[in-house]
Amino acid sequence: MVDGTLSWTDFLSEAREFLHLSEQLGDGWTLCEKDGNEPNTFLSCKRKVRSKDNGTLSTLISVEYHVVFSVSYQVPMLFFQAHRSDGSLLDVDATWRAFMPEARERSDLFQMLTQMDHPVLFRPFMALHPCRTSDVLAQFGKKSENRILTFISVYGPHVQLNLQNAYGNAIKCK
Amino acid sequence: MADAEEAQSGSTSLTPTDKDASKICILLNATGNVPIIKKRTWTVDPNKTVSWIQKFIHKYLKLDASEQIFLYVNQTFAPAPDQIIKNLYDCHGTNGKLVLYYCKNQAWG
Repeated sequence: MVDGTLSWTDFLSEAREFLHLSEQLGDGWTLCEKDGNEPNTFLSCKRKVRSKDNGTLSTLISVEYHVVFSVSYQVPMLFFQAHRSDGSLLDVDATWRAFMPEARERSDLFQMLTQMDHPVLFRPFMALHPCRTSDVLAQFGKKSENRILTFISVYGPHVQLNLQNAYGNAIKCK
Repeated sequence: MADAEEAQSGSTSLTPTDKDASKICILLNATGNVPIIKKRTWTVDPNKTVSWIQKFIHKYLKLDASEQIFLYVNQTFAPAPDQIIKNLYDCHGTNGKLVLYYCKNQAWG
């Protein structure tokens, strides 16, 4: 059985590898280092996405995504913060409407996306819950080449963070 | 995929007919604890999306609504659900086939 968890050093080396791929493909990921301590290094990228909320006029929102190491779960965790074009922040309800309108009816909404403290910046961020992440990362027949890439490509699309197809090739011919 | 099902009685390696010429041949591999699909090779309309295939497998295996199908290429990369099969094939196709791995899991909770 493959274990889906990562150690802090695994996280760092795979995050650097992911960063290297992103530099080759030029899609703007950066690595933010606050200091050398665990878990103060994280991957970050900014995107402009269209709100999926069709109740209102479709608006463009700018989103900042962070991939941070979760010390308690020993897996990567996806944090993000979304702003409207006038600079106002989307609260948790608006974020649900903008990113996962199809899940609105579900009772387990609080198990997916809630607002919590960013572990490095200590500011409120939206976070995808990490409790199943290690199961999801462990389900391959063999070990994933880069679990950060697997993590982002599996969980990202739920919050409109889509990676280019070329990432799948880049990892093969690395 | 409806056409492929009709041809199911024959061999699994489908010979492309005129109608199938534009379609893309995909090979589905199960990983982890997911039930296997007996028929591994399917031909798919190139304009179908990844999420369409996920829904198809979900329905085919009669899975619970809380369980989700994940699709991978190269055992590492999960393509975006709105990606169309043609793009995926152009990027990851080998020997005229697109090899996809699938597994199921609960993503949340």
